[in-house]
Order: sequence, then structure tokens, then C-alpha cells
Amino acid sequence: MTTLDQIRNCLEGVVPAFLATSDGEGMPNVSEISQVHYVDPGHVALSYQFFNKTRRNVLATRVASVIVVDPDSNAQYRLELDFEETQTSGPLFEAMRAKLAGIASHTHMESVFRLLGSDVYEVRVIEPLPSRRLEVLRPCNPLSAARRVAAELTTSEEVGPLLDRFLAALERQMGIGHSMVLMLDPETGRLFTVASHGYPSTGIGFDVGLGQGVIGVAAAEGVPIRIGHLAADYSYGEAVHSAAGIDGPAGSATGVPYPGLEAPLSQIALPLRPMGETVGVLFAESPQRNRFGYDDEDALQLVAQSLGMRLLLGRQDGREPAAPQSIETASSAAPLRLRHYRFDDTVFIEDAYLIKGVAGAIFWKLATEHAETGRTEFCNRELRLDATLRLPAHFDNLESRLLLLQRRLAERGGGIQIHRSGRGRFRFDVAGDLTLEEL
Amino acid sequence: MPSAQAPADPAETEPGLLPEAQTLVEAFCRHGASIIIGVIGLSGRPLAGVALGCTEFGPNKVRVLLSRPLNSELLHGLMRNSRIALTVSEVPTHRSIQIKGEGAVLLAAQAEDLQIAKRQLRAFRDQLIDAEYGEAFATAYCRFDPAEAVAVEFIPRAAFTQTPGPRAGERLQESVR
Repeated sequence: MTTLDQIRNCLEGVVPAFLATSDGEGMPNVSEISQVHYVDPGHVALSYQFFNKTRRNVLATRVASVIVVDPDSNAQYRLELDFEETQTSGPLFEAMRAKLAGIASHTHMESVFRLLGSDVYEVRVIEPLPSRRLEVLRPCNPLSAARRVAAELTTSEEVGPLLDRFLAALERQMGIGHSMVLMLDPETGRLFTVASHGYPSTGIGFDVGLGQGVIGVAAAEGVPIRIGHLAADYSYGEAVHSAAGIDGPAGSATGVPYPGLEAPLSQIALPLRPMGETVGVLFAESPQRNRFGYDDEDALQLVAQSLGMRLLLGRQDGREPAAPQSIETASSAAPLRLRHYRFDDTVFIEDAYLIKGVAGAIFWKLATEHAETGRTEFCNRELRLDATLRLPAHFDNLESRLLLLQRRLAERGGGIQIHRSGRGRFRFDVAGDLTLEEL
Repeated sequence: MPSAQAPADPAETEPGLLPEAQTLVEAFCRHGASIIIGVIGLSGRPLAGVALGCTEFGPNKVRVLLSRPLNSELLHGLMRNSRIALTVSEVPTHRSIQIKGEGAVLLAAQAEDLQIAKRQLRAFRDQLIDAEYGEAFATAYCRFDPAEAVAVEFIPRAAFTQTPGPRAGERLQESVR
């Protein structure tokens, strides 16, 4: 018996599906539809875009028949469907909305295709139809590749290098050449880039808001979001954002430019949700159309879950101070001039923007103490207890903020660096003298 | 595409409606079109099907060619309930026309049917390639075995625009001219 899981490639929206319904008097209706979405092994969802004859028929009779076609093998199936419900918001709706935007973009129907609802159907019967089938060779087994990528997460203690290795493994094992990890700051509702792979600039610090583009929607809804032909609504490109009325360069609040591809066609964003709470997003993109399918989504969500748990462990680890380890400090005689804007904790090093927000406040505290006392050893706990940093009591996300600060300093800090010196401890290494200016 | 000269039942066929549909459907099919049908199956549920070509379109008769193996259940349904829906879609523009009809009968495919369907499928294949579906897929999708073909004729009763958008489902003369 054919199962829905076996025919998911037919449900990518590459080839239109053919939907037949009938009215209460038994007159059939048939139309092409752009999207039949896989929901679970027993259900699909069809995009509801207009209140047309098809919609009226479905509401009246609650039955439908749809033919779906595999765009690679030309395998064809007829599905017998029973209508269950319409969802107008939530994870399924958002996943379909993003995919529909991609389909609309590819078929030049952006102004026409707008999702009003996700019509969920139970799949009663799947009938294979005779067709000339093409042989399809998959480049890799996504499950096997996911296992090898997840194994990378057990090889390092330092989160920064771990993320770099993890993203490199995505390319090595799964052929994904462009990827990022972003962490969520729940206070500001923004996700900031802490690692990237495959781009000319790292974009560490680039941030997007919840609900913005595939990354923001994946974080807001807690579900994977993917798009097979990038649409304007989901692009982070500067021109597109200007057109969409989003302020700032590429929509970033920090001013760090979007590091990603100029003209991606496929994008996928997977929420990192250890213990059911979104802490970040794994994002990948490709210049290839329809690069990420259902199997890729499943495999990447598995590794994203492993990554989320690993980051959660790192956070727990950071809460327990242990004995400091000695770290070698690079030396330089050049004095460094730091400028701090109190109103939003923006920090500049030698007139170059470094960081802002809570991470900026943390940096300024470290720099001030170092300048006044020469101190270099700090622990996470003292930052957590420092009221001036205004960390939220419930979920302070301190480790993610420190990771962002550490990675920004690695790129732009010059003689100022942060190194982990033990469990829950770090060293603020400064080569030379600091000149502090507060505005 | 040949067509008959007079409507079978002028009282039931809207004047001026089907000639409009005829012009559009003939143009779509000539350039290469997706042709799909909907019927009521033996169980009383709707059934979707795919046609090979539309070989005749006139005010009182529409004739389409189907693959019998691909549409066996659908053909059984048509023998009990002869009402049928036919949608013809132009690939590059997505412009679509839906014809609702009745009195559908199954007939043997004629040599002229096969010639027309072959021509239409070749044009459709070229449209699919232009739309970046890939030559291998387009060729497999438009594969045509004349020995498996069967003709279905029905009387058209109404035509609607089916082009995706808020006006899909409107009667043809209101929206497509």
C-alpha cells in the first residue's frame, strides 16, 4: 500500500496538482492548484486562496480528489480526501504561506497567490496511476548525513569553534554550502548571527526580528520554514526590504549587513528548541531552486535539535564557576580608544562599531573594570547578579550574549578578546592600554 | 480543431458564450496546454483525471482524448454519471478555461484524434521545457501511447474563467474578453 510518506516529493509544489470537487447537485468541478502540503502520515493541507467554486464545493460536500505528480520521477497518484478543518494562523499556516510565496515567485503570481487558510484533509486512499517513471538518483542519504553532522557536536567544549565545525560539517556531509546560526534575544525579540559558513563576510551580529523572513517566522512559530524559489516577502536583500518598508540596512537593528547570498533561490530555517523553547535558528540557503525537500527538512531538524540541546548544555555549564585556567595573552603596545553610548549601550572601538544592547553593556562593564583595576578574570555568575546589566531574572540568555560578544571581538576586537578560562569563567584579554569615553 | 455549425440545444446553451470559449481553448491547445477533467466516480465522490488532448470543440460537442489505463476508474464513473468538468490551462500565463458539460459518452479514438493529440502534446511538452521542468520530465509526462487512447464526447453547457485569482469561477463572458 502506498503511503503519504513515500510520495512527499509530489507535494513540493513544483508541478501543479489537479483538484476535483463536486457541488451538492453532483456537478463536478476541476482546477489546477498550486499547493498540496504534507502535514503528517495521514493528512495533507491545500492552500485556500480565494472563496471560489472549489471552496464552496468543499464546504458543501467535504470531499475532494487530487492528482499529484513527482517532479523528478513523473510518478503520479490520485488521493481521495475528506475535508476536516481550515487553519488561518499558526505553524502549519506559516509553513504553507512561505512555501506558497516561493511557488508564486517562481510562477510570477506574487500578486495573486495569498494564503487565506490551510485546508486540512484526511487522506483516505492513495491510488498510484500508471505513468512513464524516470530513475531518480539521490545525491546523499539525508538521515545518514544527519547522523554524521550530529556527531560533530560531541567533539568540542567551546561553543564558538563548535558552531564553526558544525556548519562546515553541513557542507561536507550534506552539501549545504551557505549556512548560519542565529540566537534569539527574548528581550528585544531579535535573532542575532553568532556563526556563519560559506559567505565572503561572516555577518556576526547581523540580526532579524521575530516574524521577519524565513528565519524570523521559523523562530516565531517554532516550525521549520522553507522556500523553494525565494519571494520578495521573505528576502533579506536590502532593496527588497526598502520596498517592503523595513528600516535600516537589510532590516538589521545593529547595522551589521546581511552576510547571505545576494540571489538565493532556496532557503530553510529550522528553530532550535531544546526543551520546547526556541533559543535560536539554524538557517541554510542555496542558489539552486527547490534545493531543500521534505527529507532535507527532517534531517536538518534532527541536527538542529541536537544543536539546540548542545547549546542548552553549554548554558548550564556556564552557570557553574570552576577554577580558572591560564590563557596566553597577545601583547601589543598600541592604546585602544573605546566609546560607549549610554542610551542604547552601543560600543565603538577606534570609531568602528562593535556591538550594542545588553552585550554592549557587558562589554563596557568588563572594559571599565579592566581599565580601573587591571582585572582580567570574570565569571558568568557575577554578570548574572549585576543589576546594572538589567538581565531578565527568568531567562537571561547570558551565554548567548557572551557568545555574540566573543565572536564580534574575534572579528573586530583587535587587541581585545574574550577566552573561556574554565566552566562558567572567562578571561578578558587586552593587549595594551584602553582609553574609555562615555557619552 | 474542427467544430460543428449549430448548438444542439440553443435553449440550454448560452448564446455567445461557447464561441468565446472555443477561440480561447483552441488557442491554448494549439500552443500547448494542460487539460484536466473532473467527474463523479461510482462511489459518488469526485474524481480528478488528466486528458491527452482536446480534439474537437464546438457549441454542441466537445471531444477529449484520454489514456484508458490512467483514467479507468474515472471512465467507469462517467458511464453512470455523464456530467463532466474540463479545464484547459495555458502553461506560461496560467490562463484557464473550465467547461461544464453533460451527456458524456465513451468512443473509440479515431486517427484524426490521435494526430491532433500528438500535435498538442508535442506543443505542451515544449511549454513544460520552457517552464524549466526539464526535458526528461516533460517528455515522460507527455508520453502518448495511441493504443491506450479513448475518446470522450460531451455537450458543453457553460464556460468559466479558471485563471488563478479572485475572478476564477466567473462565467466566461464576464471576465475574459
